[in-house]
Amino acid sequence: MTDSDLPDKQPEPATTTYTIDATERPTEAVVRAVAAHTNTALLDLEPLYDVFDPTALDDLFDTHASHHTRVTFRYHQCSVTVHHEEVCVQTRLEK
Amino acid sequence: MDSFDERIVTLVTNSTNRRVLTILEAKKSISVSELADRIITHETGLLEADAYESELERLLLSLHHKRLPELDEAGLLEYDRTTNTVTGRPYVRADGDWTDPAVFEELFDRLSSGGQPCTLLEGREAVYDYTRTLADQATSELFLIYPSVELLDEDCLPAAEAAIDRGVDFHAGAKSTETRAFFETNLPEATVWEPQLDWLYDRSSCPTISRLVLADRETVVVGLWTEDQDGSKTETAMVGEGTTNPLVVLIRELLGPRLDHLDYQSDDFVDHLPFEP
Repeated sequence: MTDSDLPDKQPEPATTTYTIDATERPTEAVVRAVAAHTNTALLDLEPLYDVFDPTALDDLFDTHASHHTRVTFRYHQCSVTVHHEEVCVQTRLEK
Repeated sequence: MDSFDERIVTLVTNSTNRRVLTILEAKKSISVSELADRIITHETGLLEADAYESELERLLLSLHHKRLPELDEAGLLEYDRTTNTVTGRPYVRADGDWTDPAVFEELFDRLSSGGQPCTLLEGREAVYDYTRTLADQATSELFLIYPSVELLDEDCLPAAEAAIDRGVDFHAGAKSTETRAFFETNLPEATVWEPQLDWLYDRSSCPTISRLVLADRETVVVGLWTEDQDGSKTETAMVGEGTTNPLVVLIRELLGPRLDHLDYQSDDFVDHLPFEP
């Protein structure tokens, strides 16, 4: 049996897990993770600033950094979740 | 810092943002890649290929995803996100001629509109009294620049001596040999130096900066001479108080590393120091 036999079933969305480097800002990690996941050049992504203020995200992890902190948002047709040490990017399946 | 004007001041106090605006003055339209290359060349000079690539990637990311959209939103430039092209706004000057009284007043109004207003002192007496109070209240550092000799007054020496006795670091910058001699003679414990600040010594004659006093890095007085038609000079000064006051932020940024180590000093000046440099 192949996928073509089941036209209603969507394939599992691909997920990229990106580890945030010690010298890296969370927003830098978000951009690099989404660029890698979608195979898009940094400059071809929509500026993160147009989605939300990157400083706010960096400040959140600077000042309230706990292992439970977790922020999820939608960016470049992906669902992006930022944790304390990593960024998870998942392709959103449009219905 | 909520007001729009304060946001612009904050943006412009960032040295990389200022570099972007300066590059755009010379070249009206530029690709983001060329802009990044120029900034790296200016800030770090030659780099090895690997270091250059990594620095370029980091800078492109910060320019495209944060700095340029932010500067665009503030109206300081235009950034085309699709073509990655940056265009300057012709009326923006990265280096405002703020010794022009009209600009000075406008700047004052803008700085006063925020949550932490600046105050204006009219007349030499008022400025003198205020700076004297500052000297009395300083707890750790007094940083002064006197571009000209005419404001020096032996009456202000006791306040300066008292501050030094309290353990306040006293730094006096003066362009003229005469002014430096005055400080060296009267305040032997003060650090006396020759400032190399182009923005402070404007080529035009009048009006000019009369004095700049920064106390404990949180209160600043910037005085300006204006000359009346009959040739008499009037001093007006702007005062900013508090570490987050826009004027204080601006002056600290303009003075930059000079607050921690003084400028390059001319050979002539170094030769006159009483010790081996």
